[in-house]
Amino acid sequence: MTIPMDEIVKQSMQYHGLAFAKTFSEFIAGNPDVRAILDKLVNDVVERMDIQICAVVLRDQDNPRRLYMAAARGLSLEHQKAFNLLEGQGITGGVVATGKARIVPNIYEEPAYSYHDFAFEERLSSLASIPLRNHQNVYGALNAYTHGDHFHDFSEEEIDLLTLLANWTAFALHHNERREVQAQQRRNLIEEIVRETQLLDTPEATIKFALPKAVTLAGGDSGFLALVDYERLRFEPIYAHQRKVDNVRRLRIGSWHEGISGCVVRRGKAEIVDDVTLDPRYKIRGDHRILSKLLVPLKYQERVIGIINIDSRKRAAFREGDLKNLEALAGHLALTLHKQKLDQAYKKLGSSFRTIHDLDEICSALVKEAAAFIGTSAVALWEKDWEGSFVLRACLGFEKFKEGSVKIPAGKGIVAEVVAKRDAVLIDDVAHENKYLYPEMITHTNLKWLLCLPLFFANEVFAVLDVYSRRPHRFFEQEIDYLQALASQAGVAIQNAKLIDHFNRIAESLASSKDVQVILENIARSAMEVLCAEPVVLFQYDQATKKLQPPPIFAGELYVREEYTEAFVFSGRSFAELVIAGGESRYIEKDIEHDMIMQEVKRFDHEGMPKQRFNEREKIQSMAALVLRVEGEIVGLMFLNYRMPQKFSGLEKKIMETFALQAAIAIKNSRLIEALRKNEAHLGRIIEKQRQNEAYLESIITNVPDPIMVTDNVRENGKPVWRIAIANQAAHEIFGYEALVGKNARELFGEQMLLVRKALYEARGEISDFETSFLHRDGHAIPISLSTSILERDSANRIRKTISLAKNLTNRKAIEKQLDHLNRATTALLGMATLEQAYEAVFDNLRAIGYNKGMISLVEQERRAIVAQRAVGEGWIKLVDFVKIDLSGNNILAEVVRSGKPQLIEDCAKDLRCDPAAVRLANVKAQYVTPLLVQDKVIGALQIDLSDKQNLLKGDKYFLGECLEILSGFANQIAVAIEADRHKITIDKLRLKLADIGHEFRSPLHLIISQLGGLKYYLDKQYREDEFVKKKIKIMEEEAFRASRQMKNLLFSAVGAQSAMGLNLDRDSLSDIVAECAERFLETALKRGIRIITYDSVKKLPPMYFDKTQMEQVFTNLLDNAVKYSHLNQNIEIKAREVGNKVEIAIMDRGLGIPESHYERIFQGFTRSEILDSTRYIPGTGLGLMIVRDFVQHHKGKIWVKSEPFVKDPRRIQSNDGYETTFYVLLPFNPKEV
Amino acid sequence: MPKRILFVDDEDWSVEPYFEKLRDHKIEVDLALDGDEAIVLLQQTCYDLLVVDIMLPPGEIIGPNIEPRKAGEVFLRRLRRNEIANLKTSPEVSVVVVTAVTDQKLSETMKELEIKEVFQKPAPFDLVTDRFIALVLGQ
Repeated sequence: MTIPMDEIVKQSMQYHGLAFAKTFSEFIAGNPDVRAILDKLVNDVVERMDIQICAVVLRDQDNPRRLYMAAARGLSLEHQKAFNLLEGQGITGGVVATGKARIVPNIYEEPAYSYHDFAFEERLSSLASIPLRNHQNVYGALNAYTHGDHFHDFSEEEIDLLTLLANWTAFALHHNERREVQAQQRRNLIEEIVRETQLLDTPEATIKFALPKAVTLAGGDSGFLALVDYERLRFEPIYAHQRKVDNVRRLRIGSWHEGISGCVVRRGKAEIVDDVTLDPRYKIRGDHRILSKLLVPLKYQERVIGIINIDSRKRAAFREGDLKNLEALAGHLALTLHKQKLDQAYKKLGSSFRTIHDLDEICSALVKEAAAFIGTSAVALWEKDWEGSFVLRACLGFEKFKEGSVKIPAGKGIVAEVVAKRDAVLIDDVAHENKYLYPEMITHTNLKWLLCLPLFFANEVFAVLDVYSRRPHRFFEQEIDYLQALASQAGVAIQNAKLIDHFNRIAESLASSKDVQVILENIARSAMEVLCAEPVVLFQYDQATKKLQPPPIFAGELYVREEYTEAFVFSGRSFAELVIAGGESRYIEKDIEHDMIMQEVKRFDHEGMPKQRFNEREKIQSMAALVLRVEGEIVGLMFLNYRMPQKFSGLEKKIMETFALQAAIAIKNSRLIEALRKNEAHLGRIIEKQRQNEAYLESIITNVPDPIMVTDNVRENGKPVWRIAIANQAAHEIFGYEALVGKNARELFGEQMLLVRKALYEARGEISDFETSFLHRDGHAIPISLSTSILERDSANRIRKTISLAKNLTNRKAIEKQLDHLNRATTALLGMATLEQAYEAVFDNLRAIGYNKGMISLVEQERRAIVAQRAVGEGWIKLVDFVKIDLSGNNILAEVVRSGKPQLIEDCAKDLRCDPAAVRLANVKAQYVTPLLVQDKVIGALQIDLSDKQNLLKGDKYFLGECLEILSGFANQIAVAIEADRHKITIDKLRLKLADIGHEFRSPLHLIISQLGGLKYYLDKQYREDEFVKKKIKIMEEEAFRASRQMKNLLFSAVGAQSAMGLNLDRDSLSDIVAECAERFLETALKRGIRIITYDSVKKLPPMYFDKTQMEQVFTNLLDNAVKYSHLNQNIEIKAREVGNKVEIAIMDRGLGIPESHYERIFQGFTRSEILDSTRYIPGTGLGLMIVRDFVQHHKGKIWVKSEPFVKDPRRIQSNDGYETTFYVLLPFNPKEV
Repeated sequence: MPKRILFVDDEDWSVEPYFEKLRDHKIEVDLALDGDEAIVLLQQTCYDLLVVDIMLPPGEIIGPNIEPRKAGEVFLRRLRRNEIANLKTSPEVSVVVVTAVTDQKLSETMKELEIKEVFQKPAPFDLVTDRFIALVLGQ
């Protein structure tokens, strides 16, 4: 059946079909979603056509073969849900499977129809099922049902219209399907970006990855991402895709009207510009490559941190629908960038200050780091000083601050708030903040925010970091956290650097400075700076004397200013001393006044003497007193004072202790160095001496006339062999060898070698004057004296090296013989009665030692000539009778007498001083003329003929000298004999005379005394009570004794003066003499209640040489005085001590005493102490002490006196308290040796 | 039998004051003025104590050539060596010397001659007499 076109149009119009189709197509073109299209479809079909029921069946998305009812009109919901067919099943399944429409006029008669029950219930009658087909795809079917009792015969127009509607719907379904795929693709892209960016570390990498994807997503051609630099008011491009970064950089965000980007940043909203040429905000003219733009802000926590800019060459290339995705992407990127920036910063943080050790560098690094992180150019670091004020340490962007020393006083400004809160403080609009101290500094800077961060050290805010920002929004929490971490890190680094710096400085000064004061000052200064203490005071302490040594070493301005240096006084009870006594360091954080030790100090303050202590005066709140101790020894004390109350942390205490230890080490070192230096100087002297000694030794070894040999002791064939290693010239001569070195010592010593070795072992390595003999090369033995020392031993203590000094005893033996004879002659002379005998003894002994000829001549009394007295030997005897030589002449005898020096004439014939006639007569070739000396007075000369002694004269000069000296010795003996002979008579006569005189005086005195004694005895018997007579007799008696004593002393002094030379010295016990004298006075003393105490030191005196009579007199006189001048009931003490080779005896009494002005006078004779006892008469001659001194001086001794009050308390001295008077007698053990 | 003391001293006045005190102690006293007299008395009587001055006129027996200051010593030496014949007094009799002679060798000599005591003239009266009494009476 063919329907003409006009007919269709007519019918369509009739059914409003065309209008219907038009509105439906328009609806679909409006791009609604699938559900809306389907609903519209079923509704329109039912409403606009003669069809009562309409349903759309679609393929299930999960199982395309299964069909379901997607939309329906006029059908119960129950049946809608019940609809369930597979492709090919039933009418609809067939339509979907074949893609061809099917018209069923009566569905009850149609066997293929599946839902008869359902159709019956719904009273369905006819069905037209039209496939929803686009190209080959069948999406489902459009089912149109009629309802009621009559069956509908679908007209062609109806079917066409339904087909038209079905096709439209199919097209829409197809289109929708494509869109959904695209959306899915976008979703996948974003997911990919999110996934991938999470794996990336740096913002750069993230952006590099994400930006091209975003451009693709938005459908643009190019794009860039830029972060906002609020501080410099510009964009910081991070990455550009298909564009030049430099162009981006030119973008500014100065104002609303400057650029679209700025606008986006300010508003924080994404924007699409369809045609930039029409946008007045767009300033970049002439770049025609870009027509449309899409801008998305990067927002983090509602703050714009940057933008994504996507451009297109097409006009209106971007759709509003894409914005959501891009905004999501931007949010993600912002988060990622922020996170990554922080991550990067934190990663860097760990190593920021690790490599920097310089303090200034750390500070400036901190400032730079903080500035870079925030992007600001205004950062300042303030450090606390000792007063608590904050001083600018480092800064960025505050050049003016740098110029002057800007200070924030303690407790002022925002810093004070930070110190108090111990946390960061954030200030909005710093320019208008009242607390801010330097608003003028930031007037023109547009700085808005100030973040003030504390730097901690040992739990104290020691510095503050100011970070300023121009950004319009707050700092992020994470940023503040990071900056705080940075600041803390820097704080640690600063303190470490400070410590290292100070410790280095201290180490340097320890190493370089020699002055301990300088080192200690450095330590004090460092402690002050590191620990923020002021002042730091250091004392040295000497443990030996237990004294602190002022002046203190100090650090701190206050100290210098107030001149405390001079003000320290150590009373023994000062705080410092008590701390040292306690031996423990003290950390006083508060209430110094209530500290235990301070309390202790206060207890000792004198009452009524208010004392302002240093801590009070300087308002010191906290203090650490550190005991400087090294190796257990206390060497000093260090005070760290604080004006602010402190809380000493463990770390601070440790650092204090470190400083204390350094100071202690410095002090100890200085002391050691001082000791070392002393030693060094000493050592230097020793080394110098050693060097000299070595030089001496060398010259000694070569020049010494005695043989010196060094032997090396080696083992040869298992036997020890001593080989000569060094031998001097003398050694070679004595043995007659040309080369001694290398010889076996045994060859030289023979069997004596064994003895030497044995002696060496027994004497523990050193023997001296060991007499043995060498074998000369020709075999004869040479007597020697050997001194040997071990130079070196090996580890087994065997002798490795010895040095030996030998002395040829050949000459010594001869000398010894001569000396022996000289002694014999001397002994012989002592017993000689006459001078002739003496001469004989001398010549006998001279003959015995080989001198057979000689002559003795004596000077005449008038000393005009010398006359020969006695001669021996042929020729010489002839001379005796006529030799009388004028002393003024040229003769040798005259010269010897005049000079007092001996003369050796080796050739008499040629010597003009010898009388040729005498030479001829005596037949003398050589002679020795030596003076006879008595006390430097030449009384004659001895001539010895040496004609037959040519060997001696030509031989060893030293030996010759010794021989001649012995001859002079003989001469002296002769002289002594002659002198003794001359004096003998005089002395003897004198002595006898004196003894007679004594006798002459004593006898009558004895008579008087005896008579008086008898008289007294008689009177006693007769008149017992007559005190008057008795007293008179007693006086007479005493005076008689006085006369006796006086005379005795006179005699003694007379004899003594004469007999000084003739001291009768005997070795005896002086203590016996003292004891005897003391005993003699015991009785007299006891009568006056005086005890004489002789100390053990006297009894222990060793025997010594003295003249017994004289010493008896000495001690008798001294004790006599002591008893006489002593007060009643006082003791007399006799003590002794040895002083070198002398003995000092002290006799002390307590009595009247002797004024110092009389110390000397009392020894001069006839002087008696002026202080006399008014209560009694003390007898005395005034001669006693003179005698004592004479006698002591005869013994080459000394006597002196000392008299001082014997009660030491000056208030107790009264007139009769008395004086302790001590006579000291100093006597040599042997006066002859003095 | 009473105790007897012989004083040998040429100065009788210097010893005579002792006598009264000694006699009061029942001691008989004789005095010899030189060596000869002393020897005679010693041959006649047994004495318990001799008090001798070293300086004596020697007398004939000891020898006129002997110096006076040696006479006492010679006398005592002879006595001790028992060179005097017919002595009633023992040669070991106690002897005390009271003398004005001061000789360095005196003390040695006195020791050699076993002299009990030497008193230097002038000697205190009581000291001397008390010593005599003690020696004779053994107190």
